[in-house]
Amino acid sequence: MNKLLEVKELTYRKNLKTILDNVNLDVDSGKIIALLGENGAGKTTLMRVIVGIAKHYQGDVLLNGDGSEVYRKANIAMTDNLKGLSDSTKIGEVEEFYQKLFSDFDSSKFEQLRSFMKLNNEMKLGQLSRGMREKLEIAVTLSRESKLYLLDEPFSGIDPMARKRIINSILLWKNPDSTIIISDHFVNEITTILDEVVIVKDKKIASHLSADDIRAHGKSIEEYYESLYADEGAE
Amino acid sequence: MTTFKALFNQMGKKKRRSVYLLALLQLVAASIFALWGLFSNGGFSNSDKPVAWFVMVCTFAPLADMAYVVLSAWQNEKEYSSQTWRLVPISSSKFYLANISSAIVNGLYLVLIQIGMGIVTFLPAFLSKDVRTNIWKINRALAKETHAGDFWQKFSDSFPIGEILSAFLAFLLFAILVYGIVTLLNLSSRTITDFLPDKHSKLIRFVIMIILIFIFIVLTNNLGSLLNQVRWGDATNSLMGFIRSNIVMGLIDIILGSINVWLLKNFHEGK
Repeated sequence: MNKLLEVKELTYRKNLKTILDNVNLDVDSGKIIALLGENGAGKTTLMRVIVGIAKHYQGDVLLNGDGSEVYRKANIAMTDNLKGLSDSTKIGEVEEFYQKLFSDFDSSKFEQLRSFMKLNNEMKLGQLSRGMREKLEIAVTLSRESKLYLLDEPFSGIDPMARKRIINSILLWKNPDSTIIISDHFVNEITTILDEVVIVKDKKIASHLSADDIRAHGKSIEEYYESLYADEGAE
Repeated sequence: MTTFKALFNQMGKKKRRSVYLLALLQLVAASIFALWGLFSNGGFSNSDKPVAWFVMVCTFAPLADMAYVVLSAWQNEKEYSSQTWRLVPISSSKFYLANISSAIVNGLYLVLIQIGMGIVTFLPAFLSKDVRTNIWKINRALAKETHAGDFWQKFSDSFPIGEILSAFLAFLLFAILVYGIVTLLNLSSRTITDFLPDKHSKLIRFVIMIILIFIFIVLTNNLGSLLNQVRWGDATNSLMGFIRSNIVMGLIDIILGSINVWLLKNFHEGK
C-alpha cells in the first residue's frame, strides 16, 4: 500500500480554543474510511486542514510527501456547500465553473452522476432542496479525478432511499487507487463499504482501525463507535 | 493547477453580471428622468430637449460607477471568504491579482458600455437643426486646422499623450488602492478576531475595524506630509506631478497587496 496522506503532530487553535490537539494520521491509497465523532469533535476542521483551507496550524500535512497547499488543493476533492456561487446559478453553470477551474474535473462523469442523482442542468441553486443540493455537492466532488476525496457529512439531508442508493454506488464512481474519507453520523448505512474507521474524540484521533479488525472482535462498527463514548459515560 | 487566466475569467463572469445590471439601471433611470424632464413644466428648455436623454445618461454615469466600485469590492471580499473559491488550486498571490484585476477590467467594461450608451442617446440630438449646424461648424473648423497643417500640433498641445496615459495609470492605481484598502480592512480584522474569544465576535470586529481605519488615516496623513518634504523635480510640470503621485500610489499598492497576500496565504480562511 502506498502512503497517501500523512498528518503529523497537527494542532489547530481558533478563538483561543484548541480544536485539534497533536493529531497524527496516516492514510493509504485505495481505501474508504469513515471519520466519526460527535458534533464539534473537529472532523470538519481536520478535513479543512487536510485540503488546505484552514490555516495557521502547527504540524505537517503531506499528500504523497508534498506539503504545499496548492498541490493539496489540486489533488484533493472536498465537498463544498457551493455558497460562493449565487442562488441564481444553474447546475449547468456550476459544472462549467468546476470544469474551467479544476483540470481534473471530468464532465462526462459529472453528466452520469447528474442523471444518477436526478438533477436537471437548468435547475438553479436557489431552487434546490437541501437533499438535492447535497446530491449536487457529491456529484461535483466525485466528478474530479482526485487522489483523495473528503466527503463532509454528505448524506445528512438526503432521504434514506436515495442515501442508500448513493452509498452503494460510491464504489462505482471511485478510482481504485483513490481514497475516500467520509465524515458522517449515519454509521450504520456506510459500514458495508468501509475499509477503515477513524474516530475523533477529545481533539485527538482516539482510534484508527480497519473495519475487519473491528468485526473480528465481534462488534459492529456502530457498536464499537458507541462503546468509545460509553466508556466516557462510565467514567 | 488552475491558470490565472481561468480564474480571472470566472471571477470576471460573476462581476459582469453587476456591470450589466448597473448599465441597465442607469439606462432605465436616465430614460425615466429624461421623459420627466421633457414633459414637465420646469424641465428641459426647448433648445436642450434634443440632448435630454444624453444629459441624463451622463448624469447617472458617475452614480453607476460608484455603485460598481461598492458592488465589486463586496464581491471581491465574498470570494476571499468563500470556501468554494478558496478551494481552487492556485497561489494566494495569483488569487488576489485575479480578483482585483477582474474587478478593474469589468469596471473599464462598464465605462465602455456607458460611452456606447452616450453615443446612442446622443443620436436623437441630430434631429435638431441647431445641433446639426453646430456639429457642421465644428467639422469645418477642424478641417481648416487640418488643412493648415497644425491640427495635430494643437491637438497634442491640448491633450498631451503623456499626461493622458499618466492620468489613466493614476486611475488604475487608485482603483487598486481602493480595493486593496477594503481587502486589508476585511482580512486583518477577521484575522485579529480569529485570535480573540468567540464571544461578541461581531462587535469586536467592528471595534477592530474602527481602530484600523483610524490607524490608516493617521499613517496616510504622516506619509503625505513626509512626501511633501521630498523634492521631486519641477513642481510646476503637471506630467512630473502625475509621475510622482503614480510612483507613490504604486508603492502603496505594492505594500498593501503584499500584506493582503500574506494574510490570505497564512491566516484568512474560506468558509
